[in-house]
Amino acid sequence: MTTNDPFDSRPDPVLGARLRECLDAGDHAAFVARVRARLPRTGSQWETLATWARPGIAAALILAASLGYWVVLQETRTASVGQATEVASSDRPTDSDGLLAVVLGGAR
Amino acid sequence: MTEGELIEKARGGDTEAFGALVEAHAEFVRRLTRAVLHDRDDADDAAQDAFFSAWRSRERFDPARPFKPWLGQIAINAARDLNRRRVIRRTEAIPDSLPGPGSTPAVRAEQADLRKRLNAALAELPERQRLAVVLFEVDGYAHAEIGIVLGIPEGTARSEVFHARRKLRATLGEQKEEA
Repeated sequence: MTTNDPFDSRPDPVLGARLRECLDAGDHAAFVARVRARLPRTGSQWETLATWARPGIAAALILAASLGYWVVLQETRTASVGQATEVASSDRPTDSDGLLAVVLGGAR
Repeated sequence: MTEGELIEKARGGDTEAFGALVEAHAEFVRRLTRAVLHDRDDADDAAQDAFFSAWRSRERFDPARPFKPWLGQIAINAARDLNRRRVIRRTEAIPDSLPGPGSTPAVRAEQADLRKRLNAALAELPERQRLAVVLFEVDGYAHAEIGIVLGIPEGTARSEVFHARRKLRATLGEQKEEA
């Protein structure tokens, strides 16, 4: 039921229907078809790649850092073993401090 | 599929799901852009811009909040942007819709006249009042929700609805008295 009280906080169905009719642009199906046709079809592939880019870069950085650490570790160990072998096989007398330094260096 | 599921899929880049959302909300978005822009073609351009803008910013949408008011804000902004960018072609009178079957020439003329008056009355309202009364009367939004969509306090939204419906009812009342 329509009331003419502007303070009424309920929607007025008559006014609402008139406004709806007044502002109805019509042919919504054609409008929807136009919008759908312009939505990116293949864009989603790029967007999918883009969404993976950030975690992908982070994973690559972690992998590179791990690999770098491993390579450095291997080189250090190889060098320590080489030094130890050199000390052990040396004809020269070795002092205990020098031997300890080589052993501790290899353990680190 | 529920709207929540469609939104979730659309946020993940599913254009079909977004298309379904366009279909569900086309009438609402076009009505809002039409309330800002009187020209029908401009309003449709703005409505399209609004949907593409929503598509581009879909990942920023907070699924915990309702979708329709978010879309409404985008639609209003798109219409305002277009209003600023373009010289509006002209304030086109909203065309009479087709008469219902069986209506007499007298009834059709009366309906056409009413639409013309209501259109003129709407055009005279400030933009915010137009939007407020459309959201209230046609879409059934509460004053608080209107405030959120329009970015104004609830009390202001209530006042805008009050003034707009008073003016529009006066137009409808004139029509009744003449009849």
